[in-house]
Amino acid sequence: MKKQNLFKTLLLSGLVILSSCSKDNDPDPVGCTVETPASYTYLVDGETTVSYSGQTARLDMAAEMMSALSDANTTAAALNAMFDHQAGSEDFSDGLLNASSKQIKSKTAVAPENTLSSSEQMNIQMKFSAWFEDYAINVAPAIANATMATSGVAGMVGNRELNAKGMEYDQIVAKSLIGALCLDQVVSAYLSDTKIGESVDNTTRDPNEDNNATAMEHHWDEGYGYVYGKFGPDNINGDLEGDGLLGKYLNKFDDHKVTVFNAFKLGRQAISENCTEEKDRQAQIIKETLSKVVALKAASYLRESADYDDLSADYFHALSEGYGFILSLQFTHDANEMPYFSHSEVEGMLTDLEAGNGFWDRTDAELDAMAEIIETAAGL
Amino acid sequence: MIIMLISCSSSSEKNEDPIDNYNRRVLLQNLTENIILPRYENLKTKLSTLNNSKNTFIDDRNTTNFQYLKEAWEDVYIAWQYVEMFNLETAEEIDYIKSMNTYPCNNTQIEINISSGTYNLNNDNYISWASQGLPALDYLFYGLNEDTNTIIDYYTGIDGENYCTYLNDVINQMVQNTNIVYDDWQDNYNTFINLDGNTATSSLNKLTNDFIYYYEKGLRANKIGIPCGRWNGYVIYPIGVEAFYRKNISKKLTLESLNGCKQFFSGETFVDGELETGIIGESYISYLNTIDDNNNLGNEIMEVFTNAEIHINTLNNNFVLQLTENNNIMLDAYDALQEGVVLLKTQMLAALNITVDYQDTDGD
Repeated sequence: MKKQNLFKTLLLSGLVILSSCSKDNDPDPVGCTVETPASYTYLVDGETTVSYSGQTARLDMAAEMMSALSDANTTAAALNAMFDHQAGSEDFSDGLLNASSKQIKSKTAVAPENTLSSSEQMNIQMKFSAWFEDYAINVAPAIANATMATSGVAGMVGNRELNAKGMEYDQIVAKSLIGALCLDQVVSAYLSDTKIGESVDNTTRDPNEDNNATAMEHHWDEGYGYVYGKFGPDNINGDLEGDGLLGKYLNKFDDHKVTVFNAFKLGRQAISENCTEEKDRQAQIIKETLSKVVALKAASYLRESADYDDLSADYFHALSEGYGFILSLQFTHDANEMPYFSHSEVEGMLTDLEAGNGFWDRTDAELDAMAEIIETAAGL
Repeated sequence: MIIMLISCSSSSEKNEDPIDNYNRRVLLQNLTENIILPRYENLKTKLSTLNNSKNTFIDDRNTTNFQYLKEAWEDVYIAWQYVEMFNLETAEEIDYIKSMNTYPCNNTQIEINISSGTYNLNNDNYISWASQGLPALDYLFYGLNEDTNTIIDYYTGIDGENYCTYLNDVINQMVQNTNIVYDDWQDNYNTFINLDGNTATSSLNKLTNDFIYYYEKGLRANKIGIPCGRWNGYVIYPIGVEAFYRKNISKKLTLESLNGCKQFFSGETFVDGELETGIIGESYISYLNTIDDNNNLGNEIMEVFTNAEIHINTLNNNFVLQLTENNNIMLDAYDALQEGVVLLKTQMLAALNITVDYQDTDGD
């Protein structure tokens, strides 16, 4: 715990420390200074240049998908259609989402700079479809029939809807999307060199294109949208209350919440003022802090599940959340720009959790041991 | 320890505008005189053979003449792989690239054009581009039927004149457009070389962007990524394979395309012929070396090209078969090419201080 306080202090002490680090022979690492604006507001000619409607749409789609994963009438086809939504098809209750050309699946696990191979990315996407099938074929009927779950049999434990291995799908899917969608898109797409590197256009503005933002500014805003977009447009104060994915969990850490919001604000300002060093620094802070949040939750849910009464509703629920956060670990980004765990290491942990009759068979010692591995890897 | 972790970004921290005394004109001169112009000349030669073979076939529609015609088409398709990246100036204005190689072709529209006889190959829309050029010829030579003799029957049968007219028009259009683009290069290449500054409209900025765009879209996405279903939930899309109807040259075309990228990047003078190698002149590698002697980026990119070549070589000659038998190794080849995108588009452009001039089309 001492370590974490130190971490917090260092983060809050801000620029002095941050700028003190120059590992190459650059005599003047901070050639520009940028002030953190009070809110996430960036105007050109008096009009906001911020937009992230595509991110809001995907987060809204994910929210509807979560509800469908507690519904006895849901089919696999309906879930898959929500996942790979095509513009115009009636997959959601919200007509705006039905009209939208945005899709969750095409942004799941595929960020251009993540460390997964295409086959591994495909493997992740296929997991979602397999979960949808299992839910529709085995869990939904068990809910309809009010079947009680037992080891190897899908059904209810308390109010929790479990598959035969004790996995609660709305949790598994939501927590997996926290990494595979939100974190991956922020870390390995929108805040990566591909989208905000030196070769990306930060000059051209077109009022008809991306709200008059430059390409680089807009990319940064899209990253912002994956964390703060559920609020809707103009989330200038970083409100995370309504979020159900990454933002929801960031919101649980008072320190990290401030760090990330400030970094988003300062980094965006740095882009508008063309201060490359500051932009890169803030991007790195965001990537590492969000990654830390995911690791913290993966470890804490494992520990909580070990602490709960064995085979209680709370146990299954917490372990399901943990499972999704563990899947998310392969999309994290540490100081060396590497994930805490590779795809195959994550696969190993998930396989261990599912061994035998899955969550029914796990011991407290196993769960605590896994938590410790995660804490060590993430430097918690 | 933690201080370092948080505050250090491992990405390059250098001055905004590196002082770069490199003479871009020398590079532009090598790229233009020894690569772009000779590649176009080669394409023109191959197209001229295709045009003659077409005339011979239309005069006497027999199996032998059809065979020559198809071989000439294949030679043009290979020559094309060395030219598609130069989508600038006149080529861009007349949608030359799109009219030459938009695939999959729209065989329904092609049949409508043939039977109606009313079409305008100069229309600048997708349906028009998808019914002409090399992919349309692929359909006309290999896609009308499984059996070659039956295909020839189309050209000799009741609608034979219509088929011949369309074949004639499609090839004439290719010849004509290629001449327009080539003549423009001939007339203006000195002006092009002299625009050696570093603004969005300077020659090296445009040429480099076009090269990377081609590597990313024309090669990586069109030839492998899209057929693999990379952006469509990994649902394979066999009809999206280049030369789909010809079937067993998709790997060859991809390798030629990659070779074209490699030679362009390394400043290798174009020489026609598989075993020929050209003189290495001023190149991106030598440019990158002037920026930072410790920087091995140029060689690193060449290694990525070589690695991608190794991966592509393991694939079936016919990508359609490869997709259905084992899409995973196609995806591995995609990944190998993707490594080049990251190096070219982020690291190299940053080093050369060139801004990306195209938008990603991956949806926001």
